[in-house]
Amino acid sequence: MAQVRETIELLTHILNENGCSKLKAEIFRLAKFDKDEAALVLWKMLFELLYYSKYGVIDEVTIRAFSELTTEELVVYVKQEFQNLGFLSKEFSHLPNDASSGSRELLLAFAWLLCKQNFVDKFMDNCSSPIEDSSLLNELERNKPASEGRSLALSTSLSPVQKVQQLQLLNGKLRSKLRRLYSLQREKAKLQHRVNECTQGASLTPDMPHLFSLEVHLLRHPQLMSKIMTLLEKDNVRLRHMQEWRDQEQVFWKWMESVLELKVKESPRNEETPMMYYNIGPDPVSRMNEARRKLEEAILRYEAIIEQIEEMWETKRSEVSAEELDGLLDLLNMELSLQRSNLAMGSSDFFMLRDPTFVLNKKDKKKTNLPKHSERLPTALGPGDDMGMPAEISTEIAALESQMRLLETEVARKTQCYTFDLERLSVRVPGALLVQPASCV
Amino acid sequence: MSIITVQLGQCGNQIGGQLFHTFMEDVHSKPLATQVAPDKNEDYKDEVLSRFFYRGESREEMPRARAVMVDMEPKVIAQTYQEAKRSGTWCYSEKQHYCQQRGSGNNWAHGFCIHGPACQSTVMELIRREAEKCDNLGGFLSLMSLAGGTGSGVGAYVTRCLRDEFPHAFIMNQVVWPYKMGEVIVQNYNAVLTLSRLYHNVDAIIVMENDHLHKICQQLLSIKKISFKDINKVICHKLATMLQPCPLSKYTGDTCSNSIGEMLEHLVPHPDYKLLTVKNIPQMSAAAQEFSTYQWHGLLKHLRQMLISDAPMEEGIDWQVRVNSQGSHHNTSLANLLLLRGKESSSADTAPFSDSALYAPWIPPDAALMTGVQPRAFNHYEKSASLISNSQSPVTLMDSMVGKAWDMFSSRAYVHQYAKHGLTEDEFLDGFATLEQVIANYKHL
Repeated sequence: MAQVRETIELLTHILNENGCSKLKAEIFRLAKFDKDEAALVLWKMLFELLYYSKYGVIDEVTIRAFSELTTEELVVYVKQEFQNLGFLSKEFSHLPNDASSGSRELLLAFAWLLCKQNFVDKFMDNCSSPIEDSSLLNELERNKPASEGRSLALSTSLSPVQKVQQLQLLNGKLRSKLRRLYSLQREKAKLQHRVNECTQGASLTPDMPHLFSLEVHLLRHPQLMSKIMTLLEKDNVRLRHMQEWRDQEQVFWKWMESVLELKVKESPRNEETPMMYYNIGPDPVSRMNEARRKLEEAILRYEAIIEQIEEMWETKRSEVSAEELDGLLDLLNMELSLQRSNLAMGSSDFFMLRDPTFVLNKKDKKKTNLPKHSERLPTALGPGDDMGMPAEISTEIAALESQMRLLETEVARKTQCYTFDLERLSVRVPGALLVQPASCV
Repeated sequence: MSIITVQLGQCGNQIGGQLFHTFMEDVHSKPLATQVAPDKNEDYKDEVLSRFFYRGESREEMPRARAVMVDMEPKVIAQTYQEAKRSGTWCYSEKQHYCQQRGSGNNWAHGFCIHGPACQSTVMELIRREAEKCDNLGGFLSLMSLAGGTGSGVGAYVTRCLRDEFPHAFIMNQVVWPYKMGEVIVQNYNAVLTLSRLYHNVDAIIVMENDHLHKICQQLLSIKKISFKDINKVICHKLATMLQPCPLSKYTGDTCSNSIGEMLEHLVPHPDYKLLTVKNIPQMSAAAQEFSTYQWHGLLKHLRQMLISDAPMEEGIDWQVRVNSQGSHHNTSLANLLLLRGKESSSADTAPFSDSALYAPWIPPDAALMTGVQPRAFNHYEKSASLISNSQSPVTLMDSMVGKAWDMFSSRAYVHQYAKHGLTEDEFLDGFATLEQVIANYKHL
């Protein structure tokens, strides 16, 4: 069992190195036997780990959040996050919100989180080589106080127009800033390219044929080397710890199994209760069930009515009443007379239109001829009149005849169509007798 | 940060040459006159050189101006080349220019519709080449006049291409406003067309009025026969006070360099207000400098009155204009940038410039004034202050110019000359509408 203690100590070390607050291995032992004094510490650790898995870092925000939240808020938050991650343990959810007890459940939850979220892998990813992290460069040189809060709030005394003007102004400023940012980014790319180009051939990383700008920076400022060295040393220690953990992990998980067994032994699991824990009292649940039952009943009741209505609708739709029929017939008659008058109008239009053009044509011809051949007018006019007229008229007649044929076929087609319609309708009306209009016979 | 200068037309090229000359003169001023330690001066020099010039691998090489020259006549460009070379301190790169044999004849449409598209690909290639030499392209400075045909017409066209090619770059245009009693009969047309185009495409327009510059030459510098060269010198002095390095205090205790982006972010935050004027104090002939001393308090008092009474120079200021008095109208600003250079500049009290009554009511207090302090003296002046202001000041002039142009346009005078090159009346009308809107905006500040 001594080995278990060592392993757990290693784990607390790793957690501490990666930003969690300090933890004693003793806490784990206490938690195994569900001692209450371990509970609060474990809650805190779970909170920190959740924060880490969410934001990738444990910083002063975490610490501040921890001190500002009340214990209850903290506990509820952690429970909720666990549920979101998929840890649906009823016992865990039922732990008291004042963090007074339940350390064994917490320990189990911790083990689950550690295993599911691959924290050790994440820690490893995070701490590899400060060389690749060029933000470090800026950190080394920055000692700027937090920028003062600037008041850009719209003053209330302005008219709407002025407010719009002000907003436009602020918008303009923002756009200029973005443009400057863009040009700076281009400059950065250009300069970085030049650094890479100039260091072509000298390389520390296998798959890069050139130096990073940080490496060049370090070459330029050797005093920064020692800083980087300490950082690297620190990383090395952390990585070594994690490597050791990888070797000894088995022991810890075995021990966790024993914790689980202990739990099972002490309290046999109740299978009936639902897995999901809702943070609501029993009263609303019963009321909700009641409401649901009522809703179902109502739906059933209305379903029958709806069916009835649908049936009625169907029957109504298939029947045709006498009034409707009268209306339809009227409509048809109107349509027919309309068409007929249309046809008549069309034909008269046709003649009225063509006649004058015919005359007009003739006149035009004369006029244009007049000035040109004025001396030959008497001779040119005679034959022109005699020859031109018959030719014109015959083509016109031909055109008219073709038009007439067209109209006739149209009339025939329409008549057929309407008689057919009428017949069809008369069949549908039971006691009706069809008398075809005279024009159709 | 580097700035690429685009010199357009005769006026732009002459000013450009003079501007680089002014930079170099300032950089090479006597060590004693700089009033700072040699290493500080060296930093200053390095910054100027990297900002406006391009240096080859070896330091012996003469610095080359980061500039592109465009003109439709070869004469001025050749002249500017020559003058630069003769200075012995800097030069232009070979082949960083574009010129043709025939000018635009003061016809904006000829420049914009004919010469502009013809030179587009070559000029843009030159600019791209220049831009590739910059690690950090801070922005573009275009120099042109408003009256002529090439500077304004081709200039407006090239500026538009510049915006298309570099959508995120800061573009600042310096335009020279023609004399009221103009040299060119259609100058008002040209100015309306140019300004309206520029207003859509650039971030800021620095307005230099020939009439004001003429007065400065006459009264402050006591020049008898004023040439364009004298006027250009004044323009370049003003521009250089703005563009030479001067750390800006952005937040208390935090400074940043006066990169073109930083300045324009402060000065032209609103898309409707883009007109800038530069007022500087003191300005005098070299002979008078030796016998003059100034106190910061007095300088800034004058400068402030220049701002609120909209005076172009320190003489003949109307002291009756008061900010708080009822009835009298003072020059309202959108934003101001105050740059102090020289001895004890950090001790000067700039509070009078941040008075909220100077600004439109909707300006947030911290967006109103930005100050920069540079202990190194500028161009032999022991103390000098310059105020770059986005205020109502250019508007009266613009109003009268638009009015005159409209009078001509309503009788369609000379419009056929523009139509000949494919400029429609609608485009004229668009120009008028844009500028009327600008005038209305500024008047309502």
